[in-house]
Amino acid sequence: MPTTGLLLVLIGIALANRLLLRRGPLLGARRPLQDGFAVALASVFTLIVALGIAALLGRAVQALAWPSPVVLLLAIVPALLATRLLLRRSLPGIPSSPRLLALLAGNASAIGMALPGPGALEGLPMSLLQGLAAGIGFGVLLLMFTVHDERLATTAVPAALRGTPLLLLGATVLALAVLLGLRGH
Amino acid sequence: MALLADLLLWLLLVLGLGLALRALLRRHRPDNRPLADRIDALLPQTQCGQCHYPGCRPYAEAIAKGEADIHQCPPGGEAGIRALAALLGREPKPLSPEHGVEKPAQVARIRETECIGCFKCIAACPVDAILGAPKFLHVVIEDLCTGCELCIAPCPVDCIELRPAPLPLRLLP
Repeated sequence: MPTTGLLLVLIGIALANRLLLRRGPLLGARRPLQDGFAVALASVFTLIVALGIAALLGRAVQALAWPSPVVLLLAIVPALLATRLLLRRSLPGIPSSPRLLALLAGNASAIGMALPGPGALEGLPMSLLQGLAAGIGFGVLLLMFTVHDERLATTAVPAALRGTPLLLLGATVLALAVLLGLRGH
Repeated sequence: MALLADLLLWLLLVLGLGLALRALLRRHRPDNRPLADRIDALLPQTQCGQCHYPGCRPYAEAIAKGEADIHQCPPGGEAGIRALAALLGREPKPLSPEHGVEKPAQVARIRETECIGCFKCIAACPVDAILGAPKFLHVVIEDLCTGCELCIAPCPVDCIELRPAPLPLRLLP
């Protein structure tokens, strides 16, 4: 079932993001929830820009017959430059760290690769729609993990489980619930 | 022609997402005030002294200097501890029980028939929320009262009671 696969990929990416964002805000927000939202939005922006560039690029290099994942990966680079420019211009105080750019590149390429369908080479509106929907799903998952983390941070939890172990446990339960819920057994 | 329409759609989408991201990031401008000011802005300003400091500002200064921990403020509660932990880049922790427990917001009210006008609660109020004069009836100004409970103990006739605070007009921070 391709949808379940995409969902599991999204859960994995959101979890990786949360684990990285735990170490401190990357986009200068005062609350982790706002920071997670901004990171998700920036990732979706990068992905959408990359999908458009990939469509153009795919047309230009049709003779070489490259597979669409390669085209998408190539398109991520200029898309990342556009995101970096936007971040610089709207957040002059905070230099865009390499950690943040690596995170955005990883998010955009992982979501883009996981998208079902014929890929970025044909049907741009369809791939844009898919990218947007997957991006929203990723954002919701990231916010869920952030809230989960925030809620559990101040509760009395055994020291061995505090922090990352608890987040991993929560993610496991969530992934199980999604799988069983969608498959129905 | 189809490609042109597709590209137009793409440009519109990119423009929309870009503007949304820009508007969001505009609100994340870094805060350059001194650390004690930023900590003070997160405290509930009840001036109740449950943190064992005379008020919110001294507690904020103690945290900034590293003399006090972040889990000593019961009125701020869990949300307050989380905000402080995020500001200072530390791990949040449960509220310290020696300083009190988190309660819903409350305000004090003076039962008029019992008040003897002794002025002791007015002297105790840290936020000047009690109006009155010696030998005259006292009354609590609800909008200013922080529910700190500091006026309860000094009252010689026990005529001050605590009631749940009315809902604020502004529900969102």
